[in-house]
Amino acid sequence: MTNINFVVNGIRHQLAVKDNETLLDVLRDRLGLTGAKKGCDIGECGTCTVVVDGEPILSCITLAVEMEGKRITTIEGLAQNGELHPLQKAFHEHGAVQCGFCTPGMIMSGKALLDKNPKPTEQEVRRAISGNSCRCTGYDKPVKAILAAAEAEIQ
Amino acid sequence: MYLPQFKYLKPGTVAEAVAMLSEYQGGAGVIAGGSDLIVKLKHQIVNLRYVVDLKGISNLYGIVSRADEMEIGALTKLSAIESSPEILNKALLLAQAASVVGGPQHRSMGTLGGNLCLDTRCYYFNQSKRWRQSRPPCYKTGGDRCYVAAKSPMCHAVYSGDTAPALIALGARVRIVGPEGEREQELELLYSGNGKRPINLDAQSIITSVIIPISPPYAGHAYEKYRLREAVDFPVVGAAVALSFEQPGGVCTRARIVLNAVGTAPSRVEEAEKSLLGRKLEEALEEAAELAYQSARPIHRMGGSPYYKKKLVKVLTRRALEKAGSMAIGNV
Repeated sequence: MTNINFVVNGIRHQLAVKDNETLLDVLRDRLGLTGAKKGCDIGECGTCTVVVDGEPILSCITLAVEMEGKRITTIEGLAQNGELHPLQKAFHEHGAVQCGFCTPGMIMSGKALLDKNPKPTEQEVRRAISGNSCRCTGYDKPVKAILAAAEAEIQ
Repeated sequence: MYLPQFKYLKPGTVAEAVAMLSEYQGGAGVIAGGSDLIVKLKHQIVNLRYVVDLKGISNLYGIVSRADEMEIGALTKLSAIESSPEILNKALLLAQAASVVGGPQHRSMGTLGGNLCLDTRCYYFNQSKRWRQSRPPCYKTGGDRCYVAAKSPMCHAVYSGDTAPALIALGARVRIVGPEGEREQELELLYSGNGKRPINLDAQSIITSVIIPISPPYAGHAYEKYRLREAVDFPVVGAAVALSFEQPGGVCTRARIVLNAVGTAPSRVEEAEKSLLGRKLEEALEEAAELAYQSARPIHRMGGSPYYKKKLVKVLTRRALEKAGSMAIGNV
């Protein structure tokens, strides 16, 4: 067991984690943040994506002990005071959610993109979510939703 | 899938890391980005008692430019490499190759050193423990047979890292630190050609940086990667090309053609390289692509039929040569 200090969605946590625990298991099982999903569990599908220090990473193949001193944002950290984040609103309004399993990862990839590049082109959006598999939507509506969220955030 | 038990170690210096690796020889593995190792641990393809995390070593990061070369720390993230203005300016080929590794998440986790040390892959190897249990182990998992080539005395797992062929084409070297100290060697020599143990690096040594010579004027290069989807997938075939010319539109003075994912190591096609020297590109292009086609010996069950992969070698080599040629002339 190793003691780690990290910030998840603005809340500081001190946690004793096992050396072989993944970040995803800690988020889901220890902190109760079940938004990030366990899909393939080997870093191929992208539904476990969370943002660590501004970068989208795959939490299912990241060790929790590596998170010492890091700032993590999960899908639960986006809505503020009961108000949906522009990305969440846009996904909702554009019908970019079908089964919903890929959505948390997709939105977190979108968030990492918009934080760095507030006005992305369609191609940049498609590239940013290229690590997130979606078997329902055909990607068209998520892409439109992220572009709309970028638009909304600028205004 | 839960990870097997191991102890996590985080050295603060290269010397400390080497000391740890020497002490726990054989039982310790190195982790940088983790996108290759953690998956292998989950599949229980490797069993480690210790995982040595290099991310705490601050001098393994960053890009240093000198007059005639550029040195990139082994722990520099692939996402930093694909967007670094310095690399885009002086070693575009590396940035191109880094930008097509995995998906965006893999690139923000994965490091240059880790990508160079990517393990070889095989249909019979990269599978869960339960899947593999249905038959006796192969060479790569400690057994005595190869399921891909039944009569083969060796493992044929395929090397498919994208940055290695690009860097070999650029003539890069790697700096390695081990118990005997520091040494520098051609990157090309890092690859053994044996699928079972593809990286020529003993268990106590680590790669600390990559040194890339700055290309001469009138140089052009390209990396062509074909994969089934535009993201995440490993290459079915890749071809990296670096060319230098006497003058724009003149004869070729230096050529390197490196094929990826057709064998157990990224491999140069020397006959094709020679066929370009002293000739204008448009005169030698078809012959070079044909020689690359003839030299490629892809094996089945590795992302496509051998016939298909061989055809791809020709197409991608030709395409990469054309792009490198037009880049050298300046109309990219």
